[in-house]
Amino acid sequence: MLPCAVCGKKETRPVRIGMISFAHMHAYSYARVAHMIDDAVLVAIADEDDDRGTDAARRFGATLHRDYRGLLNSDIDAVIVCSENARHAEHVVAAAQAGKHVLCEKPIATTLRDARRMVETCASCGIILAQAFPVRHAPAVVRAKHLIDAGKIGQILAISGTNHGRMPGGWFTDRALAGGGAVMDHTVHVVDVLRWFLADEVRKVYAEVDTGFHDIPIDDCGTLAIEFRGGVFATLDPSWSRPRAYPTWGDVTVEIVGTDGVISIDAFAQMSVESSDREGAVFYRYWGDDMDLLLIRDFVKAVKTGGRPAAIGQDGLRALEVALAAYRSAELGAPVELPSADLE
Amino acid sequence: MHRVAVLGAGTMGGVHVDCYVRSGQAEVAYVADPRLELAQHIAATCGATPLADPEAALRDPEVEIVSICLPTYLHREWAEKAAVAGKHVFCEKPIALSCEDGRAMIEACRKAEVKLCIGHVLRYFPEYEAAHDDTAAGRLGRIGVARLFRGGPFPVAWSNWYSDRRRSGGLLLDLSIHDFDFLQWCFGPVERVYARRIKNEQPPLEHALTVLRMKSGAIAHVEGSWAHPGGFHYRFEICGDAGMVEFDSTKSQPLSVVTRQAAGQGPGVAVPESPLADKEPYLREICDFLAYARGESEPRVTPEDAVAALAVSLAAIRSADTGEVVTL
Repeated sequence: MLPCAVCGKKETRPVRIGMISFAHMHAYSYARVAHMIDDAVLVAIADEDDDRGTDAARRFGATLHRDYRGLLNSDIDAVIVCSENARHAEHVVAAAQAGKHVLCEKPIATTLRDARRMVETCASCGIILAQAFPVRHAPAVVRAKHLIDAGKIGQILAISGTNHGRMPGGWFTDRALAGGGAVMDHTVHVVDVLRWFLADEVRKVYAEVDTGFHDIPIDDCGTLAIEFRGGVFATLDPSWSRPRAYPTWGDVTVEIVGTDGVISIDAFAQMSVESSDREGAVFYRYWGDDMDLLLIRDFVKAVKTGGRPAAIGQDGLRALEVALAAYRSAELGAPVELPSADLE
Repeated sequence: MHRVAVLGAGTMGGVHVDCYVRSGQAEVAYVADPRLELAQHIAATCGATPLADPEAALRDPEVEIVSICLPTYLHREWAEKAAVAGKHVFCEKPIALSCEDGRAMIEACRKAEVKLCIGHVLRYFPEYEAAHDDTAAGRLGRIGVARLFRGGPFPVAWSNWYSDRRRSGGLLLDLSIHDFDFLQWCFGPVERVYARRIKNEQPPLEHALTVLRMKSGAIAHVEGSWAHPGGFHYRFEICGDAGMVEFDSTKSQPLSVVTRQAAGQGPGVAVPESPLADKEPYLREICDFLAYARGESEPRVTPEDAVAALAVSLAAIRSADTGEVVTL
């Protein structure tokens, strides 16, 4: 590589990214922000759904592969996997074996066995397995972590969190593909943030889980009570409880109570309220940082430098374990202690 | 005019006296508190006789009504004494420290043929009334999840009785009981609870998270805090299959006052207020009680409701103590 004639810096080629499946709608956001990152380029897309793949390839100016194996054999450095939850393992393992670094959409998988296989394969192939936990990059969340570590609120006693949303429909309500409903979909983000804040692992999970809002064959509401090994306890509401009429898609909130104070995070509060006659609605216009952009940039940087992304496969596995424990607890009507052989 | 004796000259004693006076239907004849100077202070605002010992008020045949604003562990004793003396009883929440004590109060008042009301004033807060009315009218459809928060700094009162579980019952019994009562008012009885609670001695803090399942099938989450160094605040959200309602007292501030500090004192601090006229909750609660005492209306909160709310608090405490799910 020749040094740049102007600045003398060694020019390196951008990270060439491929995407496997647009089944998860976050794929559209990741593809959009990939174009905004200087040292990355989205070159190829694989989707077994012809219409969806053709549309995405045209929209993002990428080459379309009907078969993801073709994409993995092409000249790319990294892949973003946004297939249905139950198919992550197949795609991530294949990517690892093809020597491509991977960013995997959350939840990492639908079973611990799959998650472990993904983590182990990526490790043995020496590739990065990043887990898409964009909330870790939210500036308010990063700032809170800094304040906690600096001892601003003393010793943490208790935490309550929410990750509300609307019912996404589609394969998200298909147990075979999604592995679970709202609890599977929305537990992992906040659990990941709590593990990061506390630098601790979950010891016990109790949950109430139900289908309360929609005529669907999967859970859409619940509340978890989570105890960490160090004694901090937390609750989390992952419900798809936001009506279509609600002015925004949902929220991520975390309130941390310490011996010397309280930190309240409302990760999407950087918004204005818009009223539109044209749309006949009032809605929140978010203007804060784009967490997906921060997430993909972090992944690209890790690929480029061989560094470690903010959240890795092991973090995804731990968060999945809590979601699975919540379902088990709801079945038993009792708390579940981790690790539990029962969740395998 | 009803003649009233108010027992206890703490925060709530002052509120009751003020409401009786403003009701225009009652006069406060006595304010009793062993801390005589506090009784004197409040009595002076309404021309009442201050007492260190309430017995004299109970002996006065002109007194029809006794308001009990004493620490919770004293509720049963003084409710029974007031009933035996033939007085109607308005008692602050929580009704007592045990369901047995609560039922004994109900029985004593029934036997003496006097009325008993418990001050679950949350049912008179217009934001909670509106949410209750919306859910009762089915405007939100079937309820899936309800979340309730109530908290502020650790309460400071006479002899630090709030921090003594044997006298106040602690946070779950004294504070979260508001939300437990509200849940049962809206959705019927609680089926089971799972609660975790943390208590810190220095600084004194208490915080509790309770996950509940209602018999209706709704899931509820009640967070109570005496660990927030900011001001007292509360919020709720109720989500159904046809809509949701949410309220946050920190965001509903019709009036806020900031005063300029003297030079070098730093920025002024905003003090929010939410003033109400006809809808003022404590006044309406007292007026409803007076109408009930006259036999003109039924109470919004029955003492049985208060015992049922207490039962949820006690179940949550047991869950927090044992780490187990407690079914009611």
